[in-house]
This record gives sequence, C-alpha cells and structure tokens, in this order.
Amino acid sequence: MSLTRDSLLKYLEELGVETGSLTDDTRLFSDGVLDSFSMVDLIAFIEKEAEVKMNPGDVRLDNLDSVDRILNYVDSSKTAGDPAT
Amino acid sequence: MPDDLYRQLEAHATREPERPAIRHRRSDGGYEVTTYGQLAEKARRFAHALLDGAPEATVVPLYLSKSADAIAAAVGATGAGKAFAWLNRKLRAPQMAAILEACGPTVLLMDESSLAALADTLVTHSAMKQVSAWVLPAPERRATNEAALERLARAPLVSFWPACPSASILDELPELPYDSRGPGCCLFTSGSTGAPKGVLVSRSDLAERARAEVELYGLKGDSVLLSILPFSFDVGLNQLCSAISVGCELVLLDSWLPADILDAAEKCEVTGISGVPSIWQAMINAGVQFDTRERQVSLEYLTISGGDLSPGYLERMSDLAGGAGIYKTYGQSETFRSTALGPGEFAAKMRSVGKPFGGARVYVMDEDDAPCPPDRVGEVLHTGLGVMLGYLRDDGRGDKLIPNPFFGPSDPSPAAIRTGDFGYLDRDGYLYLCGRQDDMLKVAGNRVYPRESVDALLTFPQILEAEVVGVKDEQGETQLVAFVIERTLLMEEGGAEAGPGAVRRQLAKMLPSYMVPRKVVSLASMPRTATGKPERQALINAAEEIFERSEILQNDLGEKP
Repeated sequence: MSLTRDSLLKYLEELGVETGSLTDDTRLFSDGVLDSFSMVDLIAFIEKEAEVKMNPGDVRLDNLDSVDRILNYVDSSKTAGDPAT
Repeated sequence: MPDDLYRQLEAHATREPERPAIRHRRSDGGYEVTTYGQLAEKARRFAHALLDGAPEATVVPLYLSKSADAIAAAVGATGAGKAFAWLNRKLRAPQMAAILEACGPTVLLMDESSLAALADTLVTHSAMKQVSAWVLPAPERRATNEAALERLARAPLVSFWPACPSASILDELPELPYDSRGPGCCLFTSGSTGAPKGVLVSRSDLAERARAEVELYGLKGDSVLLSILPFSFDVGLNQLCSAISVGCELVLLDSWLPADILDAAEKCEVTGISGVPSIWQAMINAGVQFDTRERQVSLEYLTISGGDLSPGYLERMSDLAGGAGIYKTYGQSETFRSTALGPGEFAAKMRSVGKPFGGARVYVMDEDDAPCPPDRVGEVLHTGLGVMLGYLRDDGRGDKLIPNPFFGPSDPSPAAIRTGDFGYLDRDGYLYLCGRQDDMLKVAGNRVYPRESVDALLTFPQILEAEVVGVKDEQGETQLVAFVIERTLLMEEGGAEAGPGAVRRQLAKMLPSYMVPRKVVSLASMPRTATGKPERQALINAAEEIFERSEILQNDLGEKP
C-alpha cells in the first residue's frame, strides 16, 4: 500500500470534506476545513496507508496543513527512515 | 450594573488598552496579537452592526473559525443584547438549516474559510437562500475561497464585513434594557441522534460560570490560557469567558498535535490548558511530557474535561503534566460543570470526578427519586450554578430540565437537570461515574457498563483507543462489539499474539464472560462527535451491519463462531 493523492482525498471525503473545492494547498486545519479532533485519526490513516511510522512527538501542524504538505512530509519521512531498524 | 462579556471587555480596554487579549498562532508559525483595546473596538463595531442590521434577531449564529474577529463578534452580540450561538464547524447544510430555523429571524456570521462548506447551499438550498449572512475576511485570502466567494456574490442576502451596515460606527452603545435572566448564549448539542438542540444559558449564569472557573483555577490578570477546544463546546467557551472576565491573555491554537501544544505552551508562557481526554491520550501515546523545569516553566495546570481517561492513562497523567497540577471536571452543556477534582486530591481520588464547585450541587437518585446512600449507583442530578434556561424552541422532547426535587432552604435552586449519567458518591462525597443511562446494557441478564470492557481493552499495548457498544442479535440477545484503533507496529517487533481472536482470549482472562465483546473490529479511524468523543451511534450502526453479515465478517477476521 502507498499513500497517493487519490487515497488521501478519498479519506478526506470520509471525514465530510467536499474535496471538489480543495486545492493542493488549501489549509486543512488553519482554515477549519478539518477540525483538530481529526488530527490524530489522520496521522493513524497516513501511517497505515504509507506504511511509515511517524514520530508523534515530531509531527506539527505545518506538516499536515494541506494535501501537498502531507504528501511531502510522508515522502521525506520515508527517505529519512532507515528500513533496517 | 450589568455584568456581561461586553462590559467586562470594555472595562479592561479602558484600564489597560495595550494589554494583549488574544494571541493567535498563524499558519506560518508566528503569532498575531490583538490587544484589549483593539478587541473592544472590534466588538463595538459588531454590536452596532447587529443593532442596526439585525434588530429582530435574538440569537446570532456564528459559523466561524477561532479568531480575534470571531471573538469580537460573540462579544459584540452580547453588547447588542443578543445571545450568540457558536456553531460546530462540522455541521453541514441539513443541520444548519434546522438550526437557522430554530434561531428565527437573524443574521448568520461566516468567514471566508467556513463558507466553502456552505457556499453552494446558500445559493441553491431553498430555506438557506432566505438567510441573511455576513462574511468575515480570512487573514490570508486563498484561491479556494475566491471560487466560493464568487458563487456567493450571487446570493442576494450576503454582505461582506466590514461593508455591512453600521460596521464603521464606534460611538458608545445606546442604553439597552438589561435582563440578567435573558439568554446570553446558546450551545447546540451534537445531535448525533436527531436534530441538534439549542441549550440556552442566561446572561447572569454565563458570567457566574466564568467567575466559578476563575476561582477554581486561581486565574489572574497575568494568566495565559491556551485555547485548543472549540468554542461550540461549553469547556472551550468557558475558557474564553474566564479570560475576558479576569482580563488575561488567551492563546488560540488550531492544532491538537503534541509538538504544537508543547511549542505554544513554551513560546507563549502558558499557565493553563483546558483539554479533553483524547488530547492527553495522544500526548501520552506520543511519549512526550511537559518540562516545567526547563521549557514550559510557566505551566500551572491542565484540565481533563468532557469525558474521562481510562485508569492506565490517568496514572500516567502526572508524568505528562510535569510539575503542573491536574484538574478533572465533569458536566454537560445543560449544566455547565457539575464537579471538579483538584490537584491536591488527584493522586488519592483520580478515578472520581470530584465534588460540586462554584455553587453547583449534585445528588445521586434511585429509581424512586430518593437520594442514594453512599456507594450506591443512581442517576446524577444537578442543581444550582449552570442549570440551563431551557432549550431553544423547545418542543418538550426528552427534556432534562425539571423542578428541583430537593428545593428548600439548603438548596434554593428552583430547577434541576436530570443528567442521564449514572454514578455514585463515595463516603467522602466524591462522585464516581459509571456511564450514561443509555449506555447501560443487559447482557445475559447482567448489568454491563461498556466502559469497563473499554478499560480492559486499553491495557493492551497495541490498542490506542477502544469503544464498546451493544447490539441485538437475531435472537434478540444483546451482544457486545468492540471497535479498536491499533498502534502501528510496523517498525516494532511483532512478537505478541495479535488479531481479534487473541484479544478476546486475553480479555476472557480479565473479565467475566458476559463483558467480553463478541466481536473485535479494528478501525482506521474513530468516528467522532464535536468534542472528540467516539460517536456511539455511528458505531452502533456499524455493529448492527456487522451482525447482519456476520458470516462474511467472521471469515474476514479469521474468527470462528
């Protein structure tokens, strides 16, 4: 499994977001498209889909605040993570 | 002398106009500060605009993200003698239409970020088309909003702040008739079953609620409160009211992420944080702690409100809090807060929700409405401070408001709230909750509060969150179904036996058989209400569906019947 733009948008739809009006840089949390309650769930979803372990102490709003930022963050955590450990 | 949010704000602004009132974390990580003087000026513009532009409105619905402008709108509504109703941002067109109808003639306040969810509806929905709306600007305008704004320009009853009537007037407000028992705000309950209900809170009660909280937490003018809860939720709203009442600073943070909370608490020198269990649970799971010696040195207290943590997490709260005190509070929209447990009592009584405070009283009643002796479970009844005025446009459905059965010289509160919560008082007068009336289940003739099964599930290291519901099977017997969120174990050693069958086998060693869920279902995410609690109705629906096609699922889960 991997996290794609499509699977992420599908998940956002499940959370009640009208993804038709979203652009890749719409601020999901700062603009209240999603409420903060969804953050923890979103992280769990990303971890499952992308098969990455995110360090919850390091994830910040800036990493999750738009579709683009989420995809970039997942990319960078995948490269940073050492698969041997 | 009227005592409400508007007058309190004006008084602080006159005394110390340069004092910071709101510090809002921007998406670039910086903070935008609004002083008491600026906030009072904004509030006065809203008050004039509402007096002139919506003279007939009694309740002003606010469909707004948290911001200094949004707070000024709420305070301005108070100044104009109207009740404000902060709406949950999760609401969509059908609930909005029902709420707006209940509000009667009024003006809906939106902002550029909230209108994306409603813009189409305002142009197409027959009832919504009749609604007057004012749109507040977002700090940074974005392409998304432009498209929605363009569509909205076609809606005849929409105006754009500050191009609204009288929005530029800064004169003193005219003298208005003041009724302390008139509605000051309206809190809409989540309405997961049926239409949302508007809980009306009187002006005087709103002020008293704030005063009680100021006293409970020892707030002062130099306190700094971190606001992470929505204002549509009584705990979040009361934090705002307390800050304005005492004239201290409120930090707005649109994030529940542990790293953001730690960062804001350190940078803004926060003294108090009101939180709900899922926030603290996420921080404990993230393995982070407040460092009150080196980093979050100003932090004095944390609160656990809007639900309880399971015992395993409660025991780890002290580590999370560092040197800060831990309060637990219990209440609901209809009662504000009924009880509180202070830091001094936390170690000894952490599983209770404490004692009544601030002028509230709590009774535990048996089936004949007589008070229960200590340690006997009954329904919790609330009187005194916090009792709501009633529901907006009440049609008498499931009314919790009753005449106070204990009315007398020792309890002068004329009204009481049947909370629907079950619990008991211990011999020292501390309240312990067992669950909601609606949650109590009979499984094979035994009384079961699903919470006990949840607590057992949460002792499993791989289970982050759990909820247990009951549904009737084909034979009409109640069956428990557990929904769990599992920790990602990808990079960890998966030595332990996993899977639903293993979970049930483990549970059977810890619980009587009737408390072991018949099925354990792993979810990617938990459906949630506006206050972050698992949405039980959605889970019950899912559980019913599971039983309807149980054959298929048993195969899926590799479970044997």
